[in-house]
Amino acid sequence: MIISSISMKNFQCYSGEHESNTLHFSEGLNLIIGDNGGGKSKLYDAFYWVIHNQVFQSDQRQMINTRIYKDNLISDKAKVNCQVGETISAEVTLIVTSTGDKKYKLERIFKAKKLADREWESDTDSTILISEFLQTKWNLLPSAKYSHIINRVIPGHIKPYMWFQGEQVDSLMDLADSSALSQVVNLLSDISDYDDLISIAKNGASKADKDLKKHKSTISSDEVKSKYLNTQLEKCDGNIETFTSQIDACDQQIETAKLKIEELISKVDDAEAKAKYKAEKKVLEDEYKSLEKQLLEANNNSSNGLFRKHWVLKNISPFFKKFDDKYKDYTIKHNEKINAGKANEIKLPLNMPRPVHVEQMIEDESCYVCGRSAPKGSEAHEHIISLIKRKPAKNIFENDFSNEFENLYNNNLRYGVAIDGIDESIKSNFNNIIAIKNKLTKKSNDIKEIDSQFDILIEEDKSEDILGSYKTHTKTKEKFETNKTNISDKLKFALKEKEETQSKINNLVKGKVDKVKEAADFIFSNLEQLAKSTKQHVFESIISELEGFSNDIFKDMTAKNTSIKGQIKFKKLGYGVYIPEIVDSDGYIINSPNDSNIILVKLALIMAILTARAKWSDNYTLISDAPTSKMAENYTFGFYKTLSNKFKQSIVTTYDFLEDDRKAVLKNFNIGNVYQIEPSSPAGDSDNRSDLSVNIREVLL
Amino acid sequence: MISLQEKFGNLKPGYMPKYKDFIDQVAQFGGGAEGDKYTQAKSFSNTYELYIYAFFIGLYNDKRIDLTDEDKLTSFWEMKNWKPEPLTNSLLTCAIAVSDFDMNAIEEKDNDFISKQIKLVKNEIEAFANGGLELIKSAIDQDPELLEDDMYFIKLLST
Amino acid sequence: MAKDRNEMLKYFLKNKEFIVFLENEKICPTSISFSEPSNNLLVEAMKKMILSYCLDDSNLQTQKKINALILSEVRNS
Repeated sequence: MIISSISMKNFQCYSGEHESNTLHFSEGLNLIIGDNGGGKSKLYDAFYWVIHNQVFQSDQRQMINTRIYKDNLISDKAKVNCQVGETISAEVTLIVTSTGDKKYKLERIFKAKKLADREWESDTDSTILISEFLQTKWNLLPSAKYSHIINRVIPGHIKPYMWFQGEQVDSLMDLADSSALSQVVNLLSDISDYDDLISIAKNGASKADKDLKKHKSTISSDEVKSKYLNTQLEKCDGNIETFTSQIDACDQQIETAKLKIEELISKVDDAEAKAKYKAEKKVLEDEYKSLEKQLLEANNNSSNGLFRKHWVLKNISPFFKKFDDKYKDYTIKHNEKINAGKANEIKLPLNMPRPVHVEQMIEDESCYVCGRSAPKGSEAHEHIISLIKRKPAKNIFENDFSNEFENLYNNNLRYGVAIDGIDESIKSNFNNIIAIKNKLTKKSNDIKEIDSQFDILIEEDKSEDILGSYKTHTKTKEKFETNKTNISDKLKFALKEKEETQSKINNLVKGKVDKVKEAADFIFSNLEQLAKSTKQHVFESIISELEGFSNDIFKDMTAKNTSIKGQIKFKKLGYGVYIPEIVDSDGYIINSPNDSNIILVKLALIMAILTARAKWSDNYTLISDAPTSKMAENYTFGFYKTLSNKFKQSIVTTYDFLEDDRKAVLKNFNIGNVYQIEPSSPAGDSDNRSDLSVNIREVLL
Repeated sequence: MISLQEKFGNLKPGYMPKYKDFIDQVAQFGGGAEGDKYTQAKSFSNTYELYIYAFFIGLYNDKRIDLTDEDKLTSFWEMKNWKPEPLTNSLLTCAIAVSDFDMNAIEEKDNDFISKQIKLVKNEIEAFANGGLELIKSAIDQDPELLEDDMYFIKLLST
Repeated sequence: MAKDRNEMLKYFLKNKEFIVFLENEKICPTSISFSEPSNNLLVEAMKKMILSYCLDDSNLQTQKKINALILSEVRNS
């Protein structure tokens, strides 16, 4: 729906009839230009009042209801002109047009009867009437349909982002509120569906788990013990859940404290010097981490070295020698037995030398072992021939383990050479570890040095409150880091306990486990995990989409201003918790003293939300009262241009473009209707509210 | 055909129950991710690693504990599963070397005799391994901070 | 907002954890759809969960349907 017009009758400073207080709007950027005190905010109030029955009370800086504001709603001028006994009313009429060209009229009326001078008997509340234009006339709709129509003008959940005052922007997007983005994601998407799936799977998993446990108890060799262990297991699960969420909470606290610290650092003096220290520290910390990793690796290597580099054999030589002697002894006796009773006592084992070599010796008539010649027919030649004719002795041994002993002997032989190098290998490993440790100590000292220099800078800082906050947040951070370490230890213990208990339960099980129950447990617990991780994936993709949109809009808005640097980054604080930050190209948080930069970022974020997937910008009207009020003048162009390009309809009140020569720029925009409004006091006393009305003049570009 | 390798492989040497806590303290039970070993302050990836190590420490320091059936040793994994295999074989050769295991005699005798001979080797393995465990444990009991030294077990080889 | 089963399935199939599972099971993520039955029980159970949820079944009905699927698959295997 787009808003076609608004008209006021005796509503606050808009005294007089509807006809004299009507503004028409079309698609594009509609502007109502007026100076301070010119009726801009009261116009915003008029929009707000029709829909929400509330107006902004500037003293209390909050929206208050008609029931409380009462006859203050009515124009002072109208009240003065009203005779005692007469009834007057404040009215606002909004005409909206749907995409199907249906027209609706929303009228809110508040009546009061003048009893005496300054004495009024007013209605307890206002009344709203909604009519539809059919054929030639307005037809009042049944009140049951009202909320539906109002929702089509501006749904409640979008209202904060779509209808806002310039001064609200800051609080609308609290960059320190970690839940702000989650709320947006919930609004923007059907992510809650995944919560439903998680809940279905979780219930299923819990039931399947109980079933399986019960079943295992019934087929346990000790049912009582199984039951007891199951109770223990439940306790473990409870602890694990508690510890996990506590760790998550610590993470969030740590990250939040870090953000605050960063923010404070950028606020204090010598921000540049501090940024330099920070950068140096980061490099040192990265180097430190990498050294720690190297040390871990070296340590793992050295404990593996005991076995993989067989350092454990360091002093083995005398024992190898002892085995060698025993083996030698064995071989002699073994061969003696083989050769026993033979004519020629041959001490060499069977097939030694190898038959192929023996054959060559026979052919060459020469002994390869002693090098003497062995001519055919000689005793030596006969001896060589006898070698090849040897047959294995039968049944000499009950068992012949010679091959196995030989393998053991060879095994040691292979080690023999390597053993000599063990001392050197251990030494070089030690040296390596010592070198890494020295480097680590040095790095750690360097980091401490940087910290102390940094602390000096902070101490010297003139801004004492900042110093105080800095210390507080640093302490908070440290406290939660310690907490996290403690809880992580507890978690580790609980996980181990769970594993042990589970295995104890499984060990008690005898007989067959029901496959259906086992499968149900597996399937549901996996479904739960899957639903959770998918939700996380959906969340992250929306977040990254939103981040992209925000930066696109931010870029558009700052296109004409090269002095603006930085981009919007959504920092993850924990599971599903993100916080928007403005960072420079190196990823450092910028907390510029230049407020308008922040406002611009926040507006970019709001516009990104509105233009993102749900495309609210296509379906609803953005209404804002002085959105650029906190923005430096040279940024406004980008803002209006983006607004006019991205939103089907926007209605903005502003004091920008007051001077006629500045209006020329509006031709660059997709512009709707432009009005200039100014207060009018015919008697000439601008402070006299009982003489106040507003002049509305359409500006033709 | 009798295989000595098989017979040795099936041996399950044990340790005295009083070392159980100490073993839990320094060795990962049933293995585990290598990366966790250091952070969990476990020096050995497996019980058998510690056992092999303890055997050699006992052997080098000639510290043996003669065990009887009453010691009711806790056994863990058959030797055929110990790794690396060549190192296990070296351990075996040392145990054979220092025992009364008669390499020649078993080639002539029956299965029963072989089993008894194998038992002799097992006894040596257990005697030195438990001796080694006693040495290491008592040193650490006296000075628990020793374990904080990543190099302790390597240094111990040199003392 | 109407629940779109294909849209939901699409997001499950983009979930890294699930992709790793499918890789281990040697199932190609693109082969998974509501029209093509798969041989994997977890995949079928997930489809059943989405389908039943999008049909606005109650939580208990959805659980029951998944349990029925598990029962018939395990008995038939």
